[in-house]
Amino acid sequence: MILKANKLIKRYGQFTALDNVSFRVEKGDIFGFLGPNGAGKTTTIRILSSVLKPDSGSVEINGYDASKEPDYIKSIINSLPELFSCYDWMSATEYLGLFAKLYHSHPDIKELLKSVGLDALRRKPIGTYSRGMKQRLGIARSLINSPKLILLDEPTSGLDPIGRREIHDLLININKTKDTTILLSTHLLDDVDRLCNRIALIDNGKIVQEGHLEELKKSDMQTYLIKTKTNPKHFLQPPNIKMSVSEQGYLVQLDLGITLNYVLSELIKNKIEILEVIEQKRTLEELFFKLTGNNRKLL
Amino acid sequence: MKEIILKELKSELLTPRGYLWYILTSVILSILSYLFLTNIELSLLDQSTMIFFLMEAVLSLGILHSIIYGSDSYAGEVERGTMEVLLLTPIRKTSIAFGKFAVSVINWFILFLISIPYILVVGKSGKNISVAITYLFILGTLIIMIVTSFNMILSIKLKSVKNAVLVGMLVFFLLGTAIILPPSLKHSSFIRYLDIINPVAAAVNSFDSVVIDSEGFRRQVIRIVVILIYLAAVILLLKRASQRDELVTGAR
Repeated sequence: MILKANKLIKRYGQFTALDNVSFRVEKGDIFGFLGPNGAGKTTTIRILSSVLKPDSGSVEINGYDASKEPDYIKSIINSLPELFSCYDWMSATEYLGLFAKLYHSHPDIKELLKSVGLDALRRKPIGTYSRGMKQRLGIARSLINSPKLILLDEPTSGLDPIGRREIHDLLININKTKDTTILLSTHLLDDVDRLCNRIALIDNGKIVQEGHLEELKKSDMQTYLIKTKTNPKHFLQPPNIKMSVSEQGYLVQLDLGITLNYVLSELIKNKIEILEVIEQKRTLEELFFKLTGNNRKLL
Repeated sequence: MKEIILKELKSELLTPRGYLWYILTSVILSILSYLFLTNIELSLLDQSTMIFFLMEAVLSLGILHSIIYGSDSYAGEVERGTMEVLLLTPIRKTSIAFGKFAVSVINWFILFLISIPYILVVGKSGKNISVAITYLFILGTLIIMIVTSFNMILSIKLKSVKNAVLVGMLVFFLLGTAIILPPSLKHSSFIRYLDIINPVAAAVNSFDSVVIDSEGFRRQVIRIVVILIYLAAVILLLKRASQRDELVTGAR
């Protein structure tokens, strides 16, 4: 385990931004920190990167308490804030050179810029870069101290599909080749679906779900499409089974505690002919809506 | 801290914002000097008074720059989105604060160097030129340190360049009011009391005392002590504010 957030609480006046937030990130993960706007993602990232202090709770990174060893923690992690900006009058080389000195590190800046595809532009003022280029430069900056863990706050927000795809590929490459764990805060489900192996879902300052992405998609209420020749509703009546009729057949939804085997055995026992059973995989969007409330709209 | 100083210096000297300020300062001092030497009424002033006015002008320009620089130091970086990445690095918050503070003082040194030829030309046949330059350097530096620290604190607390500049200007004009009052009002006990506790007035009165009245150092001690007390107080407050305040705003 590389990161453990334990019962984090942060208040801004009367407003509770984080309410007992706990989760853990394993080494090598691309961990998705998913939540709607205003859920508390940025506050969490700022606390994890020691920019903000929590009102209570603790953060442990690589076995060290962040409140007791903030300098060490800052030297082994790095972060890309959502609302970050560069010094537009500097060149990319000067910019990375400045941060290399601040981190007391000696990276090969040319190589670093090459890895994010900015080598050709390294002497041009950052003010002439596009948003996507600045974002890539920000990622290069966040690698300046060869961190064990990078915290990225909405890294693809505001980018066009090509820019987003470039950042996705870059992050996958960093995770694999540099052995860097990534915590990615986002409200964009596509980012999570493409990149993350584990996620935590935060809403109104509370973690509402945490785990492996595929397991979370499978967990909770599972939906199967069971095609039968005749209507099975007289034989399937427990309250935690929902049924509906579609053009394809009879749709059976199973709630917690009810297994597919139970339903199938009931159908067979009552001599209902089963034509086909198809697992309806829950999409991340469905999971997101379910856990954060259906009235919320994704951006 | 060295990295912060170099970054700030480059930003101040290599960007239009930086060098335009020095050009503007030179233009203002050139116009003032030209008027002192050619305008019939102004040229009737004795040389010491001309030097004194020029010293006031140089100090005012320095204060103006310190208000703007100090106000922008934190709030500007927060507003532009560059502060958070600095805070992510292992550099101490006080190093950021005092790196920026040092650059404001260096800016004042450059302004002071620019002003020397003007003081020498305007007061070429007058007395107390070397004393004037020495006092302008020493007391000017102390006042610039006070104004910079005060506006950096405003910048940290208000997190808005506009508001910090407004409050800084307001305080500057308040302090300046006591200096520009007509002599009849200056004799009132309230104004005299205000004059004693006003660091800017202490510096200006000291300029007046050594350049026009040719008074010695002993008469300046109380004024210098007042300035030093203010300086110690604002530096302590700046250190405290830079360490304790959360320097980020925006998204939750």
